[in-house]
Amino acid sequence: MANEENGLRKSIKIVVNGTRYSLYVEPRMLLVHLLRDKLGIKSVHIGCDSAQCGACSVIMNNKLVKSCNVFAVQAADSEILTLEGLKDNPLMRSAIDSFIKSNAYQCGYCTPGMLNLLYYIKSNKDSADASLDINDMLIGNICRCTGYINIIKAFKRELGAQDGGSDSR
Amino acid sequence: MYPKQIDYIIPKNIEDLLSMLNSYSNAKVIAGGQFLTNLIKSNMIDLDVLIDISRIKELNFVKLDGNELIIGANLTLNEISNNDTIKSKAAALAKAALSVADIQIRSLATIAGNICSAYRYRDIPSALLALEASINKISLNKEESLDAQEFFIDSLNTKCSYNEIVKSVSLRADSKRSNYIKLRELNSERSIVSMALALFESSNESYIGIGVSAFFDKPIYIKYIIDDKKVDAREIYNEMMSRYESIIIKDDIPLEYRKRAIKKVIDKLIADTFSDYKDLRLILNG
Repeated sequence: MANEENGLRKSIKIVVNGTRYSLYVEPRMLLVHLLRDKLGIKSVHIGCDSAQCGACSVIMNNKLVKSCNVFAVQAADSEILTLEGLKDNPLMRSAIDSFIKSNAYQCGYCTPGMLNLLYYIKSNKDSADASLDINDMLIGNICRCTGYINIIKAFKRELGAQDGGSDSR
Repeated sequence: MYPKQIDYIIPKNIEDLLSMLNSYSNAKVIAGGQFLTNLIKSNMIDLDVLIDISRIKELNFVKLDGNELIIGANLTLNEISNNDTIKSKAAALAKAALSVADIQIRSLATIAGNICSAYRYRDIPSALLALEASINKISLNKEESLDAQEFFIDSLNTKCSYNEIVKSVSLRADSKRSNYIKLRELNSERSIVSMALALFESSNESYIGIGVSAFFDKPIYIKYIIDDKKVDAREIYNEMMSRYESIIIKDDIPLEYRKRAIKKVIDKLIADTFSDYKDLRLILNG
Protein backbone atom coordinates (compact mmCIF):
# COMPACT_ATOMS: atom_id res chain seq x y z
CA MET A 1 0.00 0.00 0.00
CA ALA A 2 1.36 3.43 -0.87
CA ASN A 3 0.35 7.04 -0.29
CA GLU A 4 -0.84 8.89 -3.37
CA GLU A 5 1.16 12.02 -4.01
CA ASN A 6 -1.79 14.32 -3.41
CA GLY A 7 -3.69 13.94 -0.16
CA LEU A 8 -4.12 10.94 2.07
CA ARG A 9 -5.46 8.46 -0.44
CA LYS A 10 -3.98 4.99 -0.36
CA SER A 11 -3.40 2.58 -3.17
CA ILE A 12 -4.98 -0.81 -2.52
CA LYS A 13 -5.36 -4.05 -4.42
CA ILE A 14 -8.46 -6.09 -3.84
CA VAL A 15 -10.21 -9.03 -5.48
CA VAL A 16 -13.99 -8.73 -5.58
CA ASN A 17 -16.05 -11.59 -6.96
CA GLY A 18 -13.01 -12.88 -8.80
CA THR A 19 -12.08 -9.57 -10.43
CA ARG A 20 -8.82 -7.92 -9.42
CA TYR A 21 -8.91 -4.15 -8.76
CA SER A 22 -6.20 -1.57 -8.06
CA LEU A 23 -7.73 1.55 -6.58
CA TYR A 24 -7.00 4.68 -4.60
CA VAL A 25 -9.18 5.11 -1.54
CA GLU A 26 -9.36 7.49 1.36
CA PRO A 27 -8.63 5.75 4.67
CA ARG A 28 -11.99 6.94 6.00
CA MET A 29 -13.88 5.19 3.20
CA LEU A 30 -15.85 2.17 4.38
CA LEU A 31 -15.75 -1.10 2.50
CA VAL A 32 -19.50 -0.89 1.88
CA HIS A 33 -19.02 2.43 0.07
CA LEU A 34 -16.16 1.03 -1.98
CA LEU A 35 -18.30 -1.91 -3.05
CA ARG A 36 -21.45 0.08 -3.80
CA ASP A 37 -20.20 3.45 -5.00
CA LYS A 38 -16.90 2.61 -6.69
CA LEU A 39 -17.52 -0.94 -7.90
CA GLY A 40 -21.28 -0.77 -8.42
CA ILE A 41 -22.10 -3.85 -6.37
CA LYS A 42 -25.63 -3.15 -5.26
CA SER A 43 -26.55 -6.33 -3.37
CA VAL A 44 -24.54 -4.92 -0.47
CA HIS A 45 -27.12 -2.81 1.35
CA ILE A 46 -26.71 -0.06 3.92
CA GLY A 47 -29.39 -0.65 6.52
CA CYS A 48 -28.12 0.99 9.66
CA ASP A 49 -24.51 2.17 9.22
CA SER A 50 -23.77 1.12 12.78
CA ALA A 51 -22.90 -2.58 12.45
CA GLN A 52 -26.26 -3.69 13.75
CA CYS A 53 -28.43 -4.91 10.89
CA GLY A 54 -26.14 -7.12 8.78
CA ALA A 55 -27.63 -5.98 5.45
CA CYS A 56 -24.09 -5.14 4.30
CA SER A 57 -22.62 -8.55 5.22
CA VAL A 58 -20.05 -9.88 2.75
CA ILE A 59 -17.49 -12.67 2.78
CA MET A 60 -13.96 -11.33 3.26
CA ASN A 61 -11.19 -13.95 3.13
CA ASN A 62 -13.75 -16.62 4.08
CA LYS A 63 -14.98 -14.59 7.05
CA LEU A 64 -18.44 -13.08 7.27
CA VAL A 65 -18.04 -9.35 8.00
CA LYS A 66 -20.20 -6.26 8.10
CA SER A 67 -18.78 -4.11 5.35
CA CYS A 68 -20.08 -0.94 7.03
CA ASN A 69 -17.74 -1.70 9.92
CA VAL A 70 -14.53 -2.22 7.94
CA PHE A 71 -12.49 0.53 6.32
CA ALA A 72 -11.69 -0.17 2.69
CA VAL A 73 -7.97 0.11 3.44
CA GLN A 74 -8.28 -2.71 5.94
CA ALA A 75 -9.55 -4.91 3.12
CA ALA A 76 -6.40 -4.36 1.04
CA ASP A 77 -5.06 -7.62 -0.45
CA SER A 78 -8.20 -9.47 0.53
CA GLU A 79 -10.74 -11.41 -1.46
CA ILE A 80 -14.34 -10.29 -1.19
CA LEU A 81 -17.40 -12.26 -2.20
CA THR A 82 -20.87 -10.79 -2.47
CA LEU A 83 -24.15 -12.26 -3.64
CA GLU A 84 -23.27 -11.33 -7.23
CA GLY A 85 -20.16 -13.49 -7.08
CA LEU A 86 -21.83 -16.36 -5.26
CA LYS A 87 -25.09 -16.65 -7.16
CA ASP A 88 -23.91 -19.66 -9.17
CA ASN A 89 -22.21 -21.38 -6.24
CA PRO A 90 -24.11 -24.60 -5.38
CA LEU A 91 -24.28 -23.79 -1.66
CA MET A 92 -25.65 -20.32 -2.36
CA ARG A 93 -27.97 -21.62 -5.08
CA SER A 94 -29.48 -24.04 -2.60
CA ALA A 95 -29.79 -21.26 0.03
CA ILE A 96 -31.61 -19.05 -2.48
CA ASP A 97 -33.96 -21.91 -3.38
CA SER A 98 -34.78 -22.44 0.28
CA PHE A 99 -35.49 -18.75 0.74
CA ILE A 100 -37.86 -18.84 -2.23
CA LYS A 101 -39.59 -22.05 -1.12
CA SER A 102 -39.97 -20.73 2.43
CA ASN A 103 -41.11 -17.29 1.27
CA ALA A 104 -38.33 -15.96 3.49
CA TYR A 105 -38.38 -12.39 2.32
CA GLN A 106 -40.77 -9.49 2.05
CA CYS A 107 -39.20 -6.20 1.02
CA GLY A 108 -35.94 -8.08 0.32
CA TYR A 109 -33.67 -5.45 1.81
CA CYS A 110 -32.07 -7.77 4.36
CA THR A 111 -32.07 -10.80 2.05
CA PRO A 112 -28.52 -10.56 0.59
CA GLY A 113 -27.07 -10.28 4.09
CA MET A 114 -29.22 -13.17 5.30
CA LEU A 115 -28.16 -15.30 2.33
CA ASN A 116 -24.49 -14.52 2.87
CA LEU A 117 -24.91 -15.54 6.52
CA LEU A 118 -26.52 -18.81 5.52
CA TYR A 119 -23.83 -19.43 2.90
CA TYR A 120 -21.12 -18.74 5.50
CA ILE A 121 -22.67 -21.20 7.97
CA LYS A 122 -23.01 -23.87 5.29
CA SER A 123 -19.41 -23.34 4.20
CA ASN A 124 -18.14 -23.64 7.79
CA LYS A 125 -20.15 -26.54 9.12
CA ASP A 126 -17.54 -27.56 11.68
CA SER A 127 -17.15 -24.12 13.18
CA ALA A 128 -18.44 -23.00 16.56
CA ASP A 129 -20.76 -20.59 14.74
CA ALA A 130 -22.47 -23.52 12.99
CA SER A 131 -23.18 -25.12 16.37
CA LEU A 132 -25.35 -22.20 17.47
CA ASP A 133 -29.13 -22.24 17.55
CA ILE A 134 -30.56 -20.58 14.46
CA ASN A 135 -31.88 -17.70 16.56
CA ASP A 136 -28.35 -17.05 17.80
CA MET A 137 -26.96 -17.24 14.27
CA LEU A 138 -29.38 -14.50 13.29
CA ILE A 139 -28.44 -12.02 16.01
CA GLY A 140 -26.35 -9.93 13.64
CA ASN A 141 -28.95 -9.76 10.88
CA ILE A 142 -32.11 -7.74 11.29
CA CYS A 143 -35.23 -8.22 9.20
CA ARG A 144 -37.67 -5.43 9.78
CA CYS A 145 -40.72 -6.96 8.09
CA THR A 146 -41.04 -10.74 8.08
CA GLY A 147 -41.06 -11.52 11.78
CA TYR A 148 -38.29 -14.03 11.02
CA ILE A 149 -40.57 -17.07 10.95
CA ASN A 150 -40.00 -17.85 7.29
CA ILE A 151 -36.33 -16.92 7.44
CA ILE A 152 -35.88 -19.43 10.25
CA LYS A 153 -37.78 -21.97 8.16
CA ALA A 154 -35.35 -21.40 5.29
CA PHE A 155 -32.37 -21.78 7.62
CA LYS A 156 -33.85 -24.99 9.03
CA ARG A 157 -34.46 -26.31 5.55
CA GLU A 158 -30.81 -25.72 4.69
CA LEU A 159 -29.17 -26.72 7.95
CA GLY A 160 -31.33 -29.67 8.95
CA ALA A 161 -33.08 -30.14 12.25
CA GLN A 162 -31.30 -27.62 14.39
CA ASP A 163 -32.90 -25.93 17.33
CA GLY A 164 -34.09 -22.36 17.22
CA GLY A 165 -37.36 -22.60 15.34
CA SER A 166 -39.30 -20.32 17.63
CA ASP A 167 -39.90 -16.70 16.81
CA SER A 168 -38.29 -15.46 19.99
CA ARG A 169 -36.53 -12.40 18.68
CA MET B 1 -21.83 9.63 7.04
CA TYR B 2 -18.10 10.02 6.44
CA PRO B 3 -15.81 10.76 9.36
CA LYS B 4 -13.16 13.46 9.08
CA GLN B 5 -10.00 12.73 7.09
CA ILE B 6 -7.56 10.36 8.75
CA ASP B 7 -4.26 8.82 7.78
CA TYR B 8 -3.68 5.07 7.87
CA ILE B 9 -0.40 3.28 8.41
CA ILE B 10 0.70 -0.32 8.79
CA PRO B 11 3.64 -1.15 11.06
CA LYS B 12 5.88 -4.05 10.06
CA ASN B 13 6.32 -5.41 13.57
CA ILE B 14 5.84 -4.57 17.24
CA GLU B 15 8.96 -2.41 17.41
CA ASP B 16 7.81 -0.42 14.43
CA LEU B 17 4.37 -0.03 15.98
CA LEU B 18 5.73 1.29 19.27
CA SER B 19 7.88 3.88 17.58
CA MET B 20 4.89 4.96 15.49
CA LEU B 21 2.82 5.38 18.64
CA ASN B 22 5.57 7.54 20.06
CA SER B 23 5.82 9.72 16.96
CA TYR B 24 2.10 10.52 16.61
CA SER B 25 0.26 12.43 19.25
CA ASN B 26 -3.26 11.55 18.15
CA ALA B 27 -3.26 8.03 16.76
CA LYS B 28 -5.40 4.98 17.47
CA VAL B 29 -4.44 1.37 17.10
CA ILE B 30 -6.87 -0.75 15.10
CA ALA B 31 -6.91 -4.51 14.63
CA GLY B 32 -10.45 -5.80 14.06
CA GLY B 33 -11.85 -2.36 14.77
CA GLN B 34 -15.34 -3.60 15.52
CA PHE B 35 -15.84 -1.15 18.39
CA LEU B 36 -13.50 1.61 17.27
CA THR B 37 -14.87 1.91 13.73
CA ASN B 38 -18.33 2.73 15.01
CA LEU B 39 -16.86 5.51 17.14
CA ILE B 40 -14.86 6.88 14.22
CA LYS B 41 -17.82 6.73 11.83
CA SER B 42 -19.98 8.73 14.17
CA ASN B 43 -17.19 11.22 14.90
CA MET B 44 -17.34 10.32 18.56
CA ILE B 45 -13.57 10.29 18.84
CA ASP B 46 -11.00 12.58 17.40
CA LEU B 47 -7.95 11.07 15.76
CA ASP B 48 -5.46 11.82 13.00
CA VAL B 49 -3.94 8.44 12.32
CA LEU B 50 -5.06 4.82 12.38
CA ILE B 51 -2.28 2.32 12.99
CA ASP B 52 -3.39 -1.06 11.70
CA ILE B 53 -1.76 -3.87 13.67
CA SER B 54 -3.84 -6.68 12.18
CA ARG B 55 -0.98 -7.81 9.95
CA ILE B 56 1.58 -8.15 12.73
CA LYS B 57 2.07 -11.91 12.91
CA GLU B 58 3.82 -11.78 16.31
CA LEU B 59 0.49 -10.82 17.84
CA ASN B 60 -1.44 -13.76 16.46
CA PHE B 61 -0.67 -16.96 18.36
CA VAL B 62 -1.84 -19.43 21.00
CA LYS B 63 0.81 -21.07 23.15
CA LEU B 64 0.50 -23.59 25.95
CA ASP B 65 3.47 -23.18 28.30
CA GLY B 66 3.17 -25.58 31.22
CA ASN B 67 0.17 -24.48 33.24
CA GLU B 68 -0.11 -21.22 31.35
CA LEU B 69 -2.05 -20.53 28.20
CA ILE B 70 -0.86 -17.44 26.32
CA ILE B 71 -3.05 -15.84 23.69
CA GLY B 72 -1.78 -13.19 21.29
CA ALA B 73 -3.54 -9.84 21.19
CA ASN B 74 -4.72 -10.24 17.62
CA LEU B 75 -6.51 -13.53 18.01
CA THR B 76 -10.09 -12.96 16.95
CA LEU B 77 -13.02 -14.05 19.06
CA ASN B 78 -13.96 -16.42 16.27
CA GLU B 79 -10.50 -18.00 16.36
CA ILE B 80 -10.72 -18.29 20.14
CA SER B 81 -14.08 -20.07 20.06
CA ASN B 82 -12.75 -22.52 17.45
CA ASN B 83 -9.32 -23.20 18.95
CA ASP B 84 -9.01 -26.75 20.34
CA THR B 85 -6.35 -25.85 22.93
CA ILE B 86 -8.45 -23.00 24.30
CA LYS B 87 -11.58 -25.14 24.28
CA SER B 88 -9.88 -27.85 26.34
CA LYS B 89 -7.80 -25.68 28.70
CA ALA B 90 -10.00 -22.61 29.07
CA ALA B 91 -13.51 -23.61 28.08
CA ALA B 92 -14.97 -20.55 29.82
CA LEU B 93 -13.07 -18.25 27.50
CA ALA B 94 -14.05 -20.18 24.37
CA LYS B 95 -17.69 -19.99 25.43
CA ALA B 96 -17.46 -16.32 26.33
CA ALA B 97 -15.91 -15.56 22.93
CA LEU B 98 -18.78 -17.34 21.19
CA SER B 99 -21.31 -15.27 23.12
CA VAL B 100 -19.97 -11.85 22.09
CA ALA B 101 -22.11 -9.74 19.75
CA ASP B 102 -22.74 -11.64 16.50
CA ILE B 103 -20.98 -13.85 13.95
CA GLN B 104 -19.82 -10.93 11.81
CA ILE B 105 -18.37 -8.96 14.71
CA ARG B 106 -16.61 -12.04 16.11
CA SER B 107 -14.97 -12.64 12.72
CA LEU B 108 -12.80 -9.55 13.17
CA ALA B 109 -12.99 -8.47 16.82
CA THR B 110 -9.87 -9.41 18.76
CA ILE B 111 -9.33 -10.34 22.39
CA ALA B 112 -7.17 -7.25 23.00
CA GLY B 113 -9.70 -4.98 21.32
CA ASN B 114 -12.44 -6.42 23.47
CA ILE B 115 -10.67 -5.82 26.76
CA CYS B 116 -9.05 -2.50 25.84
CA SER B 117 -12.26 -0.85 24.75
CA ALA B 118 -13.54 -1.67 28.24
CA TYR B 119 -17.15 -1.03 27.33
CA ARG B 120 -19.24 -2.04 30.30
CA TYR B 121 -21.19 -4.81 28.57
CA ARG B 122 -18.10 -6.84 27.64
CA ASP B 123 -18.28 -10.59 28.10
CA ILE B 124 -14.62 -11.58 27.84
CA PRO B 125 -13.45 -9.99 31.13
CA SER B 126 -15.57 -12.38 33.19
CA ALA B 127 -13.76 -15.38 31.70
CA LEU B 128 -10.35 -13.75 32.08
CA LEU B 129 -10.99 -13.01 35.74
CA ALA B 130 -12.26 -16.52 36.47
CA LEU B 131 -9.17 -18.00 34.83
CA GLU B 132 -6.94 -15.59 36.79
CA ALA B 133 -5.51 -13.98 33.70
CA SER B 134 -2.67 -11.52 33.38
CA ILE B 135 -2.61 -8.84 30.72
CA ASN B 136 0.81 -8.44 29.13
CA LYS B 137 1.52 -4.90 27.92
CA ILE B 138 4.44 -3.48 26.04
CA SER B 139 5.72 0.04 25.41
CA LEU B 140 8.98 1.38 24.01
CA ASN B 141 10.57 1.36 27.44
CA LYS B 142 9.16 -1.65 29.20
CA GLU B 143 7.10 -4.79 29.24
CA GLU B 144 4.64 -5.21 32.07
CA SER B 145 2.27 -7.92 33.21
CA LEU B 146 -0.84 -6.84 35.10
CA ASP B 147 -3.34 -8.95 36.95
CA ALA B 148 -6.69 -8.73 35.12
CA GLN B 149 -8.30 -7.40 38.32
CA GLU B 150 -6.01 -4.40 38.20
CA PHE B 151 -6.33 -3.89 34.46
CA PHE B 152 -10.01 -2.92 34.41
CA ILE B 153 -10.60 0.46 36.03
CA ASP B 154 -14.24 1.21 35.25
CA SER B 155 -16.75 0.96 32.42
CA LEU B 156 -14.61 2.85 29.90
CA ASN B 157 -11.07 2.84 31.24
CA THR B 158 -8.29 0.33 31.55
CA LYS B 159 -4.68 0.51 32.60
CA CYS B 160 -3.49 0.56 29.02
CA SER B 161 -2.21 4.02 28.25
CA TYR B 162 -1.65 5.81 24.95
CA ASN B 163 1.84 4.70 24.05
CA GLU B 164 1.54 1.07 25.04
CA ILE B 165 -0.33 -1.91 23.67
CA VAL B 166 -1.61 -5.21 24.96
CA LYS B 167 0.69 -7.83 23.51
CA SER B 168 -0.92 -10.96 24.90
CA VAL B 169 -3.10 -12.41 27.62
CA SER B 170 -1.92 -15.23 29.91
CA LEU B 171 -4.41 -17.55 31.57
CA ARG B 172 -4.15 -20.39 34.02
CA ALA B 173 -4.51 -23.60 32.06
CA ASP B 174 -4.69 -25.88 35.10
CA SER B 175 -8.30 -25.41 36.13
CA LYS B 176 -10.12 -28.70 36.63
CA ARG B 177 -13.03 -27.29 34.71
CA SER B 178 -14.34 -23.90 33.71
CA ASN B 179 -17.62 -22.64 32.40
CA TYR B 180 -19.38 -19.49 31.29
CA ILE B 181 -22.93 -18.23 31.03
CA LYS B 182 -24.48 -15.05 29.73
CA LEU B 183 -27.89 -13.57 30.29
CA ARG B 184 -28.66 -11.06 27.61
CA GLU B 185 -31.29 -8.47 27.04
CA LEU B 186 -34.28 -9.47 24.96
CA ASN B 187 -33.77 -8.77 21.25
CA SER B 188 -30.17 -7.79 21.82
CA GLU B 189 -26.75 -9.32 22.15
CA ARG B 190 -26.00 -7.01 25.07
CA SER B 191 -25.41 -8.70 28.41
CA ILE B 192 -27.36 -8.19 31.58
CA VAL B 193 -24.70 -10.31 33.20
CA SER B 194 -21.76 -12.38 32.00
CA MET B 195 -20.42 -14.86 34.48
CA ALA B 196 -17.60 -17.39 34.37
CA LEU B 197 -16.10 -19.77 36.87
CA ALA B 198 -13.04 -22.00 37.08
CA LEU B 199 -12.33 -24.73 39.61
CA PHE B 200 -8.80 -24.94 40.97
CA GLU B 201 -7.75 -27.83 43.19
CA SER B 202 -4.50 -28.35 45.05
CA SER B 203 -3.41 -30.28 48.12
CA ASN B 204 -3.83 -27.12 50.22
CA GLU B 205 -7.17 -25.82 49.06
CA SER B 206 -9.87 -26.05 46.47
CA TYR B 207 -11.57 -22.95 45.26
CA ILE B 208 -13.66 -21.54 42.49
CA GLY B 209 -12.53 -18.37 40.73
CA ILE B 210 -15.57 -16.41 39.62
CA GLY B 211 -15.57 -13.51 37.18
CA VAL B 212 -18.56 -11.26 36.62
CA SER B 213 -18.85 -8.59 33.95
CA ALA B 214 -21.58 -6.39 32.49
CA PHE B 215 -23.48 -6.46 35.79
CA PHE B 216 -21.38 -3.81 37.49
CA ASP B 217 -19.52 -0.77 36.33
CA LYS B 218 -16.34 -2.81 36.48
CA PRO B 219 -15.73 -6.54 36.13
CA ILE B 220 -15.23 -8.22 39.51
CA TYR B 221 -13.50 -11.33 40.79
CA ILE B 222 -14.62 -13.51 43.68
CA LYS B 223 -12.60 -16.31 45.18
CA TYR B 224 -14.93 -18.91 46.65
CA ILE B 225 -13.12 -21.40 48.85
CA ILE B 226 -14.76 -24.81 48.95
CA ASP B 227 -15.34 -25.92 52.57
CA ASP B 228 -17.00 -29.16 53.62
CA LYS B 229 -17.23 -30.25 50.00
CA LYS B 230 -20.10 -27.91 49.28
CA VAL B 231 -20.75 -25.00 46.96
CA ASP B 232 -23.36 -22.59 48.28
CA ALA B 233 -24.68 -20.35 45.51
CA ARG B 234 -26.30 -18.11 48.13
CA GLU B 235 -22.90 -17.20 49.54
CA ILE B 236 -21.65 -16.27 46.07
CA TYR B 237 -24.68 -14.04 45.53
CA ASN B 238 -24.29 -12.39 48.94
CA GLU B 239 -20.61 -11.78 48.34
CA MET B 240 -21.35 -10.12 45.02
CA MET B 241 -24.04 -7.87 46.37
CA SER B 242 -22.23 -6.90 49.56
CA ARG B 243 -19.13 -5.80 47.73
CA TYR B 244 -20.57 -3.95 44.84
CA GLU B 245 -24.20 -3.01 45.34
CA SER B 246 -23.36 0.65 45.65
CA ILE B 247 -21.85 0.91 42.19
CA ILE B 248 -24.51 -0.78 40.09
CA ILE B 249 -25.34 1.53 37.21
CA LYS B 250 -28.90 2.72 37.26
CA ASP B 251 -30.23 1.99 33.81
CA ASP B 252 -33.54 0.90 32.39
CA ILE B 253 -33.34 -2.55 33.94
CA PRO B 254 -34.83 -2.46 37.46
CA LEU B 255 -32.45 -3.44 40.22
CA GLU B 256 -34.89 -6.00 41.63
CA TYR B 257 -35.00 -7.72 38.25
CA ARG B 258 -31.23 -7.70 38.10
CA LYS B 259 -30.99 -9.28 41.53
CA ARG B 260 -33.44 -12.05 40.68
CA ALA B 261 -31.69 -12.60 37.37
CA ILE B 262 -28.24 -12.91 38.92
CA LYS B 263 -29.49 -15.50 41.39
CA LYS B 264 -30.80 -17.60 38.51
CA VAL B 265 -27.58 -17.15 36.57
CA ILE B 266 -25.43 -18.21 39.54
CA ASP B 267 -27.64 -21.26 40.13
CA LYS B 268 -27.54 -22.31 36.50
CA LEU B 269 -23.80 -21.85 36.21
CA ILE B 270 -23.12 -23.84 39.40
CA ALA B 271 -25.60 -26.59 38.48
CA ASP B 272 -24.42 -26.90 34.87
CA THR B 273 -20.76 -27.03 35.90
CA PHE B 274 -20.88 -29.32 38.92
CA SER B 275 -23.99 -31.48 38.63
CA ASP B 276 -21.83 -34.49 37.67
CA TYR B 277 -19.24 -33.76 40.36
CA LYS B 278 -19.96 -36.57 42.82
CA ASP B 279 -18.18 -35.28 45.93
CA LEU B 280 -19.63 -31.80 45.84
CA ARG B 281 -22.91 -30.78 47.48
CA LEU B 282 -24.64 -27.93 45.70
CA ILE B 283 -26.87 -25.43 47.51
CA LEU B 284 -28.72 -23.12 45.16
CA ASN B 285 -30.53 -19.82 45.60
CA GLY B 286 -33.73 -21.51 44.42
